[in-house]
Formats: sequence, structure tokens, C-alpha cells
Amino acid sequence: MHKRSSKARRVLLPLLNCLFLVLLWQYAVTHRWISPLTLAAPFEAAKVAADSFAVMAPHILATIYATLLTFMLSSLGGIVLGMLLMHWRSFRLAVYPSLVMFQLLPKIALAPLFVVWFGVNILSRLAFAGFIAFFPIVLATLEGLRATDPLLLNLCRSVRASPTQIFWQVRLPYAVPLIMSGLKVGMTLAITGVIVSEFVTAQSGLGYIILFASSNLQIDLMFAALGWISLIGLAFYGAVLLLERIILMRLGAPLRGLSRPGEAAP
Amino acid sequence: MSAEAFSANAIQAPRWRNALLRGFASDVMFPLGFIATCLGMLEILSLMLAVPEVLFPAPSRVAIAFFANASTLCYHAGLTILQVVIALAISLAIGVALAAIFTLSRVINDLFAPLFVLLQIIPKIALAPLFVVWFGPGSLSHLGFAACLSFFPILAGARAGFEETSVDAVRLCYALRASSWQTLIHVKLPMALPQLFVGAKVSTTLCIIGVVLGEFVSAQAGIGWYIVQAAALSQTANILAALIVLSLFGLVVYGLVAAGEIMVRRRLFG
Repeated sequence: MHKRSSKARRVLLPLLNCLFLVLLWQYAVTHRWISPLTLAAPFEAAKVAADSFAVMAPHILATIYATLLTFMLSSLGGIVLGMLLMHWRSFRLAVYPSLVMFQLLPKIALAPLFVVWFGVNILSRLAFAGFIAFFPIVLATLEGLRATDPLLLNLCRSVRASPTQIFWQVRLPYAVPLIMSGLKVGMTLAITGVIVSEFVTAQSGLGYIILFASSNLQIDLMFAALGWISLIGLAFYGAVLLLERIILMRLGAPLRGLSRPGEAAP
Repeated sequence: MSAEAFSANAIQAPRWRNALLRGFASDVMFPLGFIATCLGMLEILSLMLAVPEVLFPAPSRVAIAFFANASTLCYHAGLTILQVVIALAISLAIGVALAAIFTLSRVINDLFAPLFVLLQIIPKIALAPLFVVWFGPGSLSHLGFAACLSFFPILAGARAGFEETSVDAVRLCYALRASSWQTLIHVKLPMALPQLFVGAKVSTTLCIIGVVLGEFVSAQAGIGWYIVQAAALSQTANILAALIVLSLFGLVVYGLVAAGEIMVRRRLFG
């Protein structure tokens, strides 16, 4: 049975391991154990990333911009729709199964269709990525709002709290953890959606760089772009985690055992 | 609600039929009615506004495309779903094996588990072209990409399941001098199955996404390839028909996994 490892061990060991793996990778590529056409050496890729920064910067910004906008739109829409569904029972009964079904469908396959609808521009990327990121947020919001402890609701009714008060002061605060976990999934899906639509429309953005580099077999450029995408993904995910902590702290919730980064989607 | 319903039931006997009908109305008729209304409105709107078929084909046109191309679509979707099933099997094997290793060895767990969590947050979808470079433009690259995309939820589910195994059961194994391997196979694995299935359901959708995206990037057949072709020819009705077929096949696979979950729960936990 595992005892919980000490904190230093949990932080230092993976870091050292990561460093070791990167060095091993570098060594393997420079000594031709692995062909540089298969895996770019990490330091070479970093050098390419630094050298080509001027060329890459607009693409990096395009991806960041599209992802942020997508995330904001889909989380706003998702949370508002979740609240509506919570209040309007017949609407919920009608729409909920469709929402769950859409959640399961491989929506990625619709990417080319959004290009047909919205053209080769940022609008099609926003619409497609928003469409992908939206469903988990709605469902998580709805689930969170409906999962309030019935004891609390009974107490509120017995002190004659109005439905508005109950909603804003009890239901919504207690739904925050689930809404935030929906937002975390939504954030990863937003980046995913933006990159996939950059694959499909191939005009700008890091997804375009990756596709372009892979067709020219410029593996180091490809890894440089992959590194940027990973950085952006981690930074945005971290930002959502931070937002969760801040909101929960302001609500006065206990913070122990909160963040479970493993629940993210692709 | 419950108190009133209960007392009413006590006085008037067969209210249940009404309740059943009402349940049927709200659970089945509402959603179906909603979908039917949406489709009807789309049909009427696209007829009235004379939307060009490239932009938005009326639902009836999609249905025609669906039935006209049914055999082609089923062929391509069949290829895709076959790859999905294989990829799911691969990611099940990888996920459970990794979780078992992490459970057996604390050092490996501490060394690698955080890296996998980090990998999970990174948008791996961007790796699709890399897999083409590695495995060539065939189904091998789709399988690799889909497995890479989808093994993590299974790993997470299996780990959660292994860790949740009741302490008493593990202590009993220890007292009976079962090796940690025996404990894993005979006690922890069966106990972890429900969590494992939760992960497997997430993985199923990810597998479908992975294979279809792999086919977008490079393929000679499969539903993703069909969709890209149809998009290049601006056959919007065909895209939508392909999506319907893909969704149906995907729901069948998902349903099979869910059915497996129910079966396992019944056999293990009564």
C-alpha cells in the first residue's frame, strides 16, 4: 500500500526525470540512435524556435487570440444556457438528451463544414472551436446547479429565502467546483478546436505552421510549434486553475484537495 | 411533490398508469418532439429562403444523400470504426498496463505519473501530422494517434480504481501472503473495473476523434477522408450524411462499452 510521498519527492523527482529524459532524447538524436527526421533534438528545436520567432509571432498571437475568444464566448454561452436549462423545466426535458448526444458525437468531423459555412477566416475557427468547447460547459453547469444539497435548499425555504436569493447565494456558489471543471475541459477543447480548424483552413496559426512544416519535413520547426502549443495549453489551463482558486477563496471554500488536473480532455 | 403523490396514491388506486404516461411524455416525447421541430423548421426555412444547397442543405436533401450513398458511407464508416475499436483495445492495454506499473512501484509512480498528467493537459491533437511522419499515411498512423489521444482517461480511471480498492481487502491479501502481483490481478483489477469503464467511455469518443482527425490529415479511405473529399467538392449534404453515419456507428461502439459496464457491474456487485 502506498503511503503519500513527501512533497519534495513529488515535485523534485518528476522534474529531475523530465530533465533526464530531455537530455537522453538530445543524446539519442545527436548520436543518430534516432533519425532527426523522426524526432527533432530538443535543443535544436529550441534554437529553431528562437531563430524563427519573428516569423512565428503572428501565428502564435493568432492562435492565442482565437483560443481566448473561443473560451470566453463558449463559457459565457455555456453558463448562461446552463442556468436557463436549470430554471425552465420543459426546455430542459426537451433539450437535455440532445445536448448529451452532441457531447458524445465526434464533432471534430464537422470542421470542414464550418469552413463552408463561415469561410476561411477567424469566424469559422471561432464558431467551430466554440461549438466543440460549449457542450461540456453547459452540461457541467447544469449538473452543478442541480446538485445542491437538498438540506441546504430546505433550510433556505424554511427561512423564506426567495428563489432569486437561493439561486445566487446557494445554488451558484455550490456549483462553482463543477462549473470550473467544465471550464477546464472547455479550455482544452477550445485549444483543440482552434488547432483543428487551423489544420483544415491552413491559413494562419500554429496548427497551420505544424501542417506546413510536416509537409516540408521540417521536423525541428514542427517541434518548435508543438512546444509553443504546449506552452500555451499549459498556461491557459493554469490560468483556469488560478481562476478557480481565486473564486473559491473569495467564496470562503476550503482549498484542500481541490485541483485534479487529470480530468482534462484531449 | 413526493408527499402529495404518495397520499393521492393511497386514496386512488391506479394512478401509476397516468404517471407512466407522463414520464413517457417528458422523457421520450419532449426530446423527440424538440428534434422533430428543429428539423421541420430547418426544412421550411431552407425552402422558403431558398438557401443554396452548398451552404445549408435541407434535412430532406441530407436524407436523400444518406440513402443514395448508404453503401459507400457504410464502407468508409466501417473502416473507420474498425480502426476505432482496435485503437480502443490498444489504449486499454497501454492504460491498464501503465496503471498497474504505477500501482506496483512507488518509485516509477513518483517519477512518471506527474509527467503523464502534464502530457494530458497539452493539446495532443497537434501531434496528428507528426504521427503521419512517423508511421506513414496509413491506418497505422491513425491507430497510433488515436491510442496516444485516448489512453489517458483509461490510465486515470484504472489508477483511481486501484487506489480505491478497500483497505481491508488489501490487508487480507497481505495477511494471506498474496504477492502484490496476485493482489493486483485478483483483487484490485476486478474492484477497479467500474472506474475503468468510466475512463473507457471517455476514451471511446476520443478514439473516434483521433481516427477521424488522422484521416483528415492523411488517408486513402475512411469516413474522415470521405468528409474531406466531400468538402473539397462542396457536397455539403454528403458531409452531413457522413456525419450521421459516423455518429450512429460511434454511438453503437459507445453503447457496447456502456453495456459492458452494466454487465460487469451486475456480475461483480450483484
